Amino acid sequence: MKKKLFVFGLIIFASMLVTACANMYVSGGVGMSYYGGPYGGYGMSPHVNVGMYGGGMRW
Amino acid sequence: MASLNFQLLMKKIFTILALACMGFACTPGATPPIASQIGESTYTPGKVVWHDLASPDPEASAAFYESVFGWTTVPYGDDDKKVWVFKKDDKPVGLMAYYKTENGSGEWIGAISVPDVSEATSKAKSQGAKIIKKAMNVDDRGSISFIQDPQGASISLIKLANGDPEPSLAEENTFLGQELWSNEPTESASFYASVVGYTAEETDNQKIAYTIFKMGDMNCAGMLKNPAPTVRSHWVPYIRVSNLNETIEKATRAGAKVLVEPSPEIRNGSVALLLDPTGAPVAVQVYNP
Repeated sequence: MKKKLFVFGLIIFASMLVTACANMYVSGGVGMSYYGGPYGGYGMSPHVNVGMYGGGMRW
Repeated sequence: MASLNFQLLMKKIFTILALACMGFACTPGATPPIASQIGESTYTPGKVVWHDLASPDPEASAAFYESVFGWTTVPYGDDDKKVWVFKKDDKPVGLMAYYKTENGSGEWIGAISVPDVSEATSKAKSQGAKIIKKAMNVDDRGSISFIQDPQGASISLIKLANGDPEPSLAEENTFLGQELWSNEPTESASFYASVVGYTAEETDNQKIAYTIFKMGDMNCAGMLKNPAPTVRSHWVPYIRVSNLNETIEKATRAGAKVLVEPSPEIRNGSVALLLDPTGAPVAVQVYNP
């Protein structure tokens, strides 16, 4: 009986592990290591050189 | 005899529970209907056909985009499998997923249509890109991968299951497209030419060097030398709005920072660059060709 309980516990653990790995994209952040946006590491006050910002796209 | 029956019963119960656990584990979270709602059966390789928001604070992001652009946010899945589809007038415009980002900020990641995601992703890797998520199939969406190009800009490659949206002028409060702010434009042009097949057309009627990424005659995306030199290369999404000042006022009230104010020097005052409440850059533009 103890052995069966152990095996059952193992199955529960495995199922939780597989859940974490299954369908990674749909599960939001799980499975994709993402450092963050480009402006996050700059104290949210980055400098943009307006003189360099121009041109334009014909969408 | 009674003991044997009890053992058999227990065995059956264990087997059923084990199968139930494994079945639950392998069941994907609810997948939002995207491809079936935006696809038009034909493909437009090279076009940015979808937009994903990686947000460290989905609640704040949802509140921002709802109040500024009038989007609705529809959740799919449960708990840690939850994602949110942004909709404008019942049509999906983007998808948001929670990412506990290391630097605490978010980013819109555009998806470029390619004929074969695995092949394009392999090519990207061979050209020096970092593969964030290799090609995978997602129900009612298609095949998709996430990469960081050699200059550090995040982008994804996609083949939508039901075809791409028909190329047309974006409706107000939806995405016009994406523009690459590259720290090394020459290298970026070479990378995207190799992976996506873009030809780079330099525009000669502008004050600064500006590149248009094209597929045949079709304009697909823009590129310029990164005007924020201390920031890594990144793609900037543009949302079409009807009234720039009104949009900026709403955005700042909803927690955005204005990184670039409208200026006659920049596209005749038609553009502003915002950082949404999670720090994700998003440009807003009045665009009436």
